[in-house]
Amino acid sequence: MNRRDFLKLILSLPLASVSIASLKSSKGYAMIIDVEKCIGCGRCVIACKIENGVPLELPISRTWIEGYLDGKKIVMNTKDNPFIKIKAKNGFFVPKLCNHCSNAPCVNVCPVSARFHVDGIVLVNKDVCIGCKYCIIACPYGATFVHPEEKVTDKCTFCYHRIRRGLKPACVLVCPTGARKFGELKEGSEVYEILKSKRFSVLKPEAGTNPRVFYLNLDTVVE
Amino acid sequence: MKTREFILISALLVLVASGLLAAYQMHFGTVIPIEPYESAVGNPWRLLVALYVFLVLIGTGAIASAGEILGIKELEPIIKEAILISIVTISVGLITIAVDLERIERAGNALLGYANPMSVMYWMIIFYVLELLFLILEGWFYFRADLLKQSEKRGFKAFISKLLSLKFLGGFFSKQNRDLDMSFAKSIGFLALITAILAYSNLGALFSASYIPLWNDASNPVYFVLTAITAGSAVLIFSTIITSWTTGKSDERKMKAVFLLGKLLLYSLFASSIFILWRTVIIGYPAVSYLASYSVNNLIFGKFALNFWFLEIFVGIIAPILAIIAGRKNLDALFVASFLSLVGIFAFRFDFVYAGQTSKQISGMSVTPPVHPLEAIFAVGAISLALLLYYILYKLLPMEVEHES
Amino acid sequence: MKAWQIVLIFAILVYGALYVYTFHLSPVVKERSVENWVEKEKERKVSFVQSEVCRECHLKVYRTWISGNHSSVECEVCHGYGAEHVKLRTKESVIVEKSRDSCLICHKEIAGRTAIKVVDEGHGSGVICTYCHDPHR
Repeated sequence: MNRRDFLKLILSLPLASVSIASLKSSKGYAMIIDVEKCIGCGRCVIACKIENGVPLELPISRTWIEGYLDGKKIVMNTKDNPFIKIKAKNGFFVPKLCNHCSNAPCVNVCPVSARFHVDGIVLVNKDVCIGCKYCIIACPYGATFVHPEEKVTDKCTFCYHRIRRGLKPACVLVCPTGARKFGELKEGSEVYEILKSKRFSVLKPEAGTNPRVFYLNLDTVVE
Repeated sequence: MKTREFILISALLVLVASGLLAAYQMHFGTVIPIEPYESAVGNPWRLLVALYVFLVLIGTGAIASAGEILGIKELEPIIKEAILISIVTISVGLITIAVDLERIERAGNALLGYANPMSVMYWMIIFYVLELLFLILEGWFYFRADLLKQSEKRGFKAFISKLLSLKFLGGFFSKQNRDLDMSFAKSIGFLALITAILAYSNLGALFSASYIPLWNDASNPVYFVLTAITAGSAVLIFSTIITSWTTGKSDERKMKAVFLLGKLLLYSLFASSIFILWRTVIIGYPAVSYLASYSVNNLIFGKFALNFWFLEIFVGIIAPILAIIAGRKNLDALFVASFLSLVGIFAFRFDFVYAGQTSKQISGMSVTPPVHPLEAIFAVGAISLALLLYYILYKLLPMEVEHES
Repeated sequence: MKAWQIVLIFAILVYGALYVYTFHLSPVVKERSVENWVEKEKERKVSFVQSEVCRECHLKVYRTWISGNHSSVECEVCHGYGAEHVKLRTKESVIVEKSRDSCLICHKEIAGRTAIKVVDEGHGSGVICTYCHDPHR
């Protein structure tokens, strides 16, 4: 019995068995972000920081918004919103977070196996993490960071404690425009229907990571 | 104890102590009431990683073992020094990387049960620990006969020798058998050499295994083994010459070995210059990718240009090559060359670690000052610790080489 | 036995031990720690309760809100996280902000904000938004 089977057994989770033809990673949870609906209000960043105990003032966050205003990249990852102070003609906002890759570099490189997959979600075992920061180096999305108080690496968990209680992740909950959608990838679920009917893309497909965060209307290459 | 020695040792001790304090402050932030050092901001891998790479890649023991196996008799007189330097640098390197961890108290997790066979870093740590183990064993067999001889005298050194040679266990441990010891040492040296090559290659692969253009290069393991030879021979030349100056004893055979190592240093420097050319052209040529050329441009024209052109290329490669070629059979020239190439190699490690990450900032993070003062203090402390350990071991152990009759 | 044979056996033992440790011993330790951590992760406390919890006490406001224009905006977007308020049930534990800035965070006209109705800064300048608009509608 390998680790995955073992975890399936102990958690006895109903994992989705249907696969979408174009998705290699078909089981478990997924998030869809509609870039056109994002208004750059930054509520998700603040909510995430409060929910997960990340210091509000420091420029580290589990989820952050990148505003591409007149071609310039501006990042919101503290509680202050930089976008409303800037006068720009064109722009769009790309919320980002850990992509929960099916083929996750951070899981592969961790020397102490502190990172692992559960239902397709990549979790950090903070009891074991030694803080070598190799995962920060390896992550192509820059989604992981060192928590300044806990002194271990930290990243988005899709609010695992919330979704196990049947609640939405904090960022999905507070998004006023519904730009973020979250759910299990199985026949009939909202997420599944959207992915089936719309054109979507993922970030950095060339990295070969098979992300679990899908973007709608993202027709421009973002870093 | 002479005054000069006393001053040297106390200076080293002060540096080591300040390094210890710096490490303590880094992790617990209680020594002086300033904000604890935060490596969360900016570059995740910093000076201490560069120092770790620099220290563990001084693979002198490996060179000496290789010399033994290839039957190069000239290298035999300095094999004890080589093994001591290897043991000291690898131990201090492992300490350095442990201090660089965010959770220093969990450093043991890397060895105790949480193994991830997919991780290059896991294998690297394991192989370095094994190499250290094998080197200690090899060294023990090299030193055993002389330790036994020394233990028959009186005083502190004899006591240490008795302890280290395990003479008190009796039996095999108290009998002199130089030939058997040598054959054991040679076999273990071969084992250490293989493990060393595995460790160096894994260290190279550690860097190439990520999505960083400057690092993501299949030639990295080869390059790391090559620079290990450069660093190892340079350190051996440097230490042998400096000890013969300070002790005033000049051994003909040791000097012969030094000149052989000078040749090795020269060749490896040539090879590294070709490698640097290859790497910068292949990775940085604009046809590859924007990020790759960006990070190499940073090295050649940007923030790290001074380090790269002056320290890495001029001080690290051109000057030593010129010094070795111009000052043929001249110890001073060789000494200068070895020192300069060591500086160059340290600069190379530094640039390699930092410039690679220029394209790898965490989103929205400011670029922090490249080196935190606490890190710098600890780095100096670690190097002093290596020097101090080597000095103490050199003083306590029987370093004189037996002349073959 | 020759020295190299003994060393060979030693090497095989060391590397064999490494193999056993890596592939057979450590998975046991790992699985246990993963199991423990997943339990811990599940037990973490929740700060953001959802609007169903708010409805329990604030039914009137809830009804206005659910039928209004802002029904897609959860209570806790403007009022801050609810876990504290649910426990204490005081006015201080919840954010009630009527400043212009708190509305303009979403409704200010900036580039790329196409999904919702926006206003420029001159719109009703100097008057707080709630004077004319009911935020719950």
